[in-house]
This record gives sequence, C-alpha cells and structure tokens, in this order.
Amino acid sequence: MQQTINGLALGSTYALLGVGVTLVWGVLGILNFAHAQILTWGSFAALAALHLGVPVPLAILVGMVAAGVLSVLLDLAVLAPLRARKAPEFSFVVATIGVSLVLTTILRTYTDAQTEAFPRQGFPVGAFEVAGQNVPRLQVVMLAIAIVAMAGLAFWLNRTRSGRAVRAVAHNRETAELLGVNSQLVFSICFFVAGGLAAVAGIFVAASAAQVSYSSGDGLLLVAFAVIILGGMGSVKGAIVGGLVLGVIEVYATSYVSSVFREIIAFATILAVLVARPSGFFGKKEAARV
Amino acid sequence: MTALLELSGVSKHFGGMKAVDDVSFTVRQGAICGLIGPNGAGKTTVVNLISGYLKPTTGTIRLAGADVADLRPHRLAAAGVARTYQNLQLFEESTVLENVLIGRHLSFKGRRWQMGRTRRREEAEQHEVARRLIDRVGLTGVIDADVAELSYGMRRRVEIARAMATEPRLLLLDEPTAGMNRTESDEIGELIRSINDEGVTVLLVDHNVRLVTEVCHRVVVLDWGRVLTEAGPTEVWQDQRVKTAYLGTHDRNAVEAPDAGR
Repeated sequence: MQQTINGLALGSTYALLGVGVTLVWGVLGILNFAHAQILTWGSFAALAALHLGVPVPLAILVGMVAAGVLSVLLDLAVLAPLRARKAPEFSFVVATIGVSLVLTTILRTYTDAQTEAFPRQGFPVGAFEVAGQNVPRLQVVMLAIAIVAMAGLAFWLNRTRSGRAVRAVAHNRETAELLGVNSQLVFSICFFVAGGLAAVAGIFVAASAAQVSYSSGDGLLLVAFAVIILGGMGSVKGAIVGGLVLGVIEVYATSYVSSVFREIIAFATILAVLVARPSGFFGKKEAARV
Repeated sequence: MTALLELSGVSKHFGGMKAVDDVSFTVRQGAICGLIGPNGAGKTTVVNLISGYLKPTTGTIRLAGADVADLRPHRLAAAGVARTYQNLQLFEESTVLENVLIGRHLSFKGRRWQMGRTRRREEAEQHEVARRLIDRVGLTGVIDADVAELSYGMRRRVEIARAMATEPRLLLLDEPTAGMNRTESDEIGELIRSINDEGVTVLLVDHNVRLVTEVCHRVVVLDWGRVLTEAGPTEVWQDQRVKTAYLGTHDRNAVEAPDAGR
C-alpha cells in the first residue's frame, strides 16, 4: 500500500513531466531536449521565492510562471525563427540541445556547481496513518496535485475553444490555420503549459529530496522520454498512464529487489511493452498527436 | 459587378517548373466561378495560392480590393476565405461535430479565456450553429461519429460544413464531387447553389462537366499553368482549344481532334 502510494507519487511527477514533452511533440513534432533544464530553472525560481519568504503555494506558482515563460521564450527566440525558415526537423532537436546546454551552464556558474538545500518548511510533512501504515503527506499532496492538473488538462483539450485549437494544430497545422487558428499562439500556450507542469514536478522532486542543483533535472529527461514512448508519442493520456506505471515499477523494484536494479527493471519493462505494442499504450501507427 | 477575388499576373514556380504562369482572372462578388482544366493544369496550385497555403512567386491576389498574398492563413480565414481539399484534410480522430466546431474558432463572441457559465453558454451556442450546418449537409445521423468511419461522400460534406462554419465570403471547393456518383454529385450541386444563394462567392474546381455547366456562372479554363480562356458555362465547351486541352493532345500540330467534349 505504502509502496504503491510512493510509486504513484513518483509516477505523477513523471507524468507531469511527460505531458509537457508529449504536448510539444504533439503540436510541433519535435522532442524538446531543454525540457529538463526548464524544470530545474522553475525549481530554482521557486527556491528564490521561498528564500524571500514567499509562502509555499505562491512560490510554486512563481516557479510555474518562470518555467512557463522561459519555455515560451525558448520557442519564440529559437524555434520560431527555424520554423519561419522551414528548417529540417533535425535543426530543431539540435537547437533544443543547445538551449539546454546554455541553461545548464548559466545555472552551474551561478550556483558554483553547489547543491542547494531546498527548505521544506511549509510543505506538507509527516505522514497519515492509514490502516496501520504510514503514508507520507507530501506524496499524497503530490499525487493530488497531479490528478487535478491532469483533469484540468483533459478538460481544456476536449471541451474548450483553445483546447480544440491545440488538437487541430496537432493534427494538421495548415488546415487549422485556414480555419482561423493562430498556430503561433497555440505553440506558445503549449510551451507555457509544458514549462509550468515541469516546474511543479521539479519543485516536488526538490522538496522530497530537500535539495536541488543545476543538474537535478538531467536524469529526468531520459525518464520523460521513456514515459512518452511507453504511453505512445503525443498522447496525453499515454503520458499520464506511462508516468504512473513507470513510477510504480521503479518503487517496487527498489523496495522488493534492490535499488541497484531500479532503472534496469524499469527500462526492461518498457522494452517488454514496446515489443508487444511498438507504439506504446495509446500510440497509433500514424502518431495520433495529443 | 464588383470583383471579390482578383488575380493579376500570378505565377508560382517550383524550381524551374512553372506550375502557374502569369494567371489573371476575377471572380465577381456573389458568383459561382468554375476553374477547370486537364490534370496538372495548375488548378489546385491556384487554390493553394488563394488560400495562402502557397505564396505566389510574382503577381498579386486581391480580396475585395485588399492584397492578401502575404497574409498568414489564419488572417486570411478571418478575411473570409475558406476551402475544402481535393485530398480531404479532416481531423480524422475527431467527430463530425468537433470538426465543424473547429471551423467556429473565430466566431466565438467572447475573447480567449472564458470561465464557468459564460463559457458554457458560448459553447452551447456554437454547438447549435455547428448542428445546423451539419443538418444542412445531411449528416445529422452521424454527428457524433468519428469522421474516419464515414464514407468518402460523407467526408466531403463534413469538409463543406466545416468550411461554412467559418462564415466565409469566398468558398474554394477543390473537386467536391470527386469519387461521387451522379445522385451524390447532384446533391452537392444543390448544396453549392443554396450556399451561393446566401451570398457566398464560390470558386469551384471540378472535372464533372455536368456540375460545372449547371451551377457555374463563369468558367475559367487553365492549361499548362496558364489561362486558356474564360467563358460562360455552355460556350466554354464549344471552344476548340478547350476540347484539345481536355483530350490531352498538347502537340498543337496533331490534327484531327475528335469532335467530342470530354
């Protein structure tokens, strides 16, 4: 029970991260290699806010907005000019790798490559006791926030005008444009949402580890890619399910086998799934995006 | 006799290939204009230029007097241009209703972000408009079906409903009856007429001689990327050059073009 909650909580951070990557993949067809750095910058923005004495919920919001804006800037300053020039797909990938290196280097220089303590005051600590088992509060809150975020996302994409525009652009940008959809606006919205959700994931990872460093996000990039491949590229539902599954597997592997095998077991499971379903849980042959 | 659409000296080159070469014609406000020509004559390229999908190499395209060649497509949609596609471009994994709703994107009265009751009311109104359009093209029975499940003819109707959802002044129809039988294409002809009766100007690309002759007021004939001639819908078929072009004999020295329309 406790392990399942832990797994789901870890998985929900993976899901938050994966959703952002999958959203950008969905509308633009590129993998954003700078996504993990945006997460890290969001965590640092929240940390700075906490140092200024800002209450936790507000600090989380600061982190989200900072990461969202940074993410939009990445698109406007780097990717939009490439789009205007109709650059080949590979240029976009290399550009995001470049941005990720720049962001890492700035943060490393600024923090002297030191790991910073992440204050946990104000975050929910301690544990609930459920049926004689301890369930850490932080994990429960994390899971709850992720569920709310995902429900909101699903509502937005399926039931609102701007959400429909996102799906239309994901499916066929040119057709959507001629129906009056401003695709650049759609890209900006998606990058903002992706950045904001990444920041939430980053802040909770930092809070549960009680520390954060310039390289905190690095390991998570591979995880995010694994999550969306597992769930099906471009599928928001897939990213959520993929994230939760991967989180639970990792926690089970750690507690019932050994932490040494944690990643091996996780990635072996992904391999097994992909052998059975090469396009992931919810992937379609022709990448049904978003 | 005001011109809604005015092409003057429009060319589009792909590398050395002149897909469209110095094309000029006008479509009168409120008219149904046919655009015909043999395969590869450049009809779809002209539609792609008018709809902003391609930018002309040279020349100007005016809509109600304003130059629209450099407008981004979503601006062009706002200016009143809508189209359907020869090879259908529907949002395949969405329902008929959702496809038409995307066409309503610009027609939401409120601005971008609406919450609670305002949003629900606006959504309900837009759903109602979409329903009426779907009813008009005769697809009420499949309104919640995924378009991927529909027949070819039905999908063509979804595209027309979606284009009409943007409330266009100029509707570009790229082969709306391709692959349809006679009854179906007659129905499309009726639909085009009724759309036109509401004041929507139509540019119709089609190979269906009967349809073009029956619904169009004027017909522009393209051949090898150039305007071959422009005439009324019945006269146009009498033109020897049109017959020759349609028979595919581009060698002008080849005599003896059999005396049949297509």
